[in-house]
Amino acid sequence: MTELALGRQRELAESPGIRHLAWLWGGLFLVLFPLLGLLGVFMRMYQAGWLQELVPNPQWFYASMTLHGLGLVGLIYAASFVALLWAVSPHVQFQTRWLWLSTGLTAVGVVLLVVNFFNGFAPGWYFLYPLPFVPSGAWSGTATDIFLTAVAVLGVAWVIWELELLRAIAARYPLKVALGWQYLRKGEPSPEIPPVVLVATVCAIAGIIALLAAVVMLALMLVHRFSGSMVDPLLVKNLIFFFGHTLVNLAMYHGIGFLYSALPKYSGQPWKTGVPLVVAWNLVLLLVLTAYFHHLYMDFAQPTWLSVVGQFASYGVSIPAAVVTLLGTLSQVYRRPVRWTLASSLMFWGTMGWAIGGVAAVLDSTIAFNFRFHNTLWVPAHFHTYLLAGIVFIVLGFVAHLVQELSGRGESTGMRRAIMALLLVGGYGFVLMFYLSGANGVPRRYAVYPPDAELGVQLARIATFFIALVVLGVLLYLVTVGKQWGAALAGAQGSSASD
Amino acid sequence: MGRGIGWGAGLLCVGLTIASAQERRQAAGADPLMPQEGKVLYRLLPDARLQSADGAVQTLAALWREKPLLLVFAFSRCAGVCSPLLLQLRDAAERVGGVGRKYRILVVSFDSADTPEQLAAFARRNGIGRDGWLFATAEPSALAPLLEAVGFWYSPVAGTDQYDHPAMVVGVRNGRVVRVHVGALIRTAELRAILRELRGDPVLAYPLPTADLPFRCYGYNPETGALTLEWGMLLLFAPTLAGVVAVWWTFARQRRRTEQCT
Repeated sequence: MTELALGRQRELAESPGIRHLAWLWGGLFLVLFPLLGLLGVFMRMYQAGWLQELVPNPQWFYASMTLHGLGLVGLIYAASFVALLWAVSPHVQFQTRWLWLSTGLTAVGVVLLVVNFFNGFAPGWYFLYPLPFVPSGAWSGTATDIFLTAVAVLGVAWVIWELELLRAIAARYPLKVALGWQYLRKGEPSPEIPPVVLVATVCAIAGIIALLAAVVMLALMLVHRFSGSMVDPLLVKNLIFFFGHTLVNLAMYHGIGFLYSALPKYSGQPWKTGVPLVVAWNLVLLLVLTAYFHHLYMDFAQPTWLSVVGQFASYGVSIPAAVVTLLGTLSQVYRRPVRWTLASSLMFWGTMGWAIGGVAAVLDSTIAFNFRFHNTLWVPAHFHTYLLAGIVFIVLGFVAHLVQELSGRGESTGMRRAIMALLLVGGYGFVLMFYLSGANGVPRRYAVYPPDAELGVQLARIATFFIALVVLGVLLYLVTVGKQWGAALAGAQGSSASD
Repeated sequence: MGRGIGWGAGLLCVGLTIASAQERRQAAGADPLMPQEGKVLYRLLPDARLQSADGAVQTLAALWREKPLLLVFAFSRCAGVCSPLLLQLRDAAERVGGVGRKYRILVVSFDSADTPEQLAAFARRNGIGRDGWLFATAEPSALAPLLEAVGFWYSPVAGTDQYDHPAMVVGVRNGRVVRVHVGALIRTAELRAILRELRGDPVLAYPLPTADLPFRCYGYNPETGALTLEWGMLLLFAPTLAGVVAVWWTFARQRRRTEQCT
């Protein structure tokens, strides 16, 4: 088992298809994450009242909000998926042509979304129906058509991805084994299964179902597009969150799968599959598809029992998986001779961010709590915690891990500490301003705060200070990883020249 | 070939952006003279001393503190859009009800030549003389900031005693702009929406679902609060069912292949 968790990872270096894919997506992440993040900086500065004279039309705030949200959710989902593929690749065999096809289609979808930014397309990241069709002159029908095309292309791309992952797992493991059900019987489990395969199986199954929900959603929107008549907005809202909420959850699970595989390389302690892990992740598979009902608490025409299902599914989907992962991570590092690098630090703190954001998310999924905090800045507070200080840290850790492993070059302790301090202080200070705003009832999605929410302006101003720290941390990260990347490339060229 | 595809894709993106921008301009009727609601929403209006048609003097702030206001700008000699606008508003307000009781309609003259008497005559000519309506002049020094705050403009038409100006109704709650309606035509439903906004109630941007809406997942009776499941609900379960079949099929297929190999 130790061999599975540690030694077989070396096979990865011999798998050029996955390696190239990982490099490409690592590079894309390093380029696109700062650019899309800058749109978020723009939004916070706009809310702080510093850019309203320079950009008098708030339309650009909403267009930025749409691209920032859609772009980053898509980027994080894709980059974390590649991290998962990379982690699971020592255990299964991929047909990489499908993965490249998906990458190409994803690029097309992203380009269309960027084009739509310049078209002023601004219905928010979850494009709540019928808003894309009711632009009130803010964007054109062509922009809506481009958006629907982008969603279709991305949907096809990611279905191919998930199907290929599932096929590769199925080629090696029966379904029951991949889901770890052999651990639930008495006696020694046989065969043993690496945790990353269990997580990958759960992600692939849930991902396919979520993307099929997107297909139905898209079909309903096309009915509207071509018939001109409205379809049931509540049904479409259900489908949007079925797909969107699940996809965001899966992005985090992808990162956790990578963590299970990569952190043992730094701690020297294998991460084994056990009964708690199997139970937690099978619960995730069972419940992740119903947790999204917590997005519909305010929809009075939705039966109450579905809201109750949503609340308890939210608990069931997050608490067990978070607890086993958190305890597992802590047991990996507690009193162990951990090799702390930029990669392992980011992975560790990313897991902590996921857990902290998860607590806020569980609070928000509680009906009584949600009635107070619905559509306040508490919502972006919790998702920025587990996205920015959670999965983004893990993906940054993934890229750092890649380049460190291939360049054989580390960073200085001082630089690592500086980067982590800037990212942690900046990141948590930034989300704290969201939490304080939300707790004081400051609404979300306001470009310009009305006087009743003046506190939102003050806290947005403080938030920009913390954002500056994050920006500085990311810049130092880029410089550090960029140097290692350069060394890795030079090494690769040197070895090919000597060949 | 790759370079050709890249150029083609780039040109397509640029073309789509230009086409979309043109379409948006057409759809929005991108007339710079049309007041833009988005630019003035939530603005605090400056106070102004008003003299009403009956000669009474009061401030704008005193009026908005008492009740929400619908603010209209007109002038008594107006031979253009003023009367059609006021008549539309009068008829719609009669159909909806509540004027005077729940809100006031304040017509402010932007013509410095207007007197209270002329405004009273103007109101009579338009058949407006009941409670809840107020015609007033504003002191010139206060008028300009008020007009600027709501995005209203006017300019003299050469060779006539007329002004060019937009037709607009401004919803004011607690001194702040909460809605701007542009155009002389005011449908009853539009006035209802403005009044809901004045009360602080949510205003839907799209019609509520009706019984004949396709793919309904629930039926809801607002009288009893009773919910029933409808056929559209099946579409909510379809992805899960299709996904389970796809997963089962994938694993079964791979298992058959493995068995064939062994």
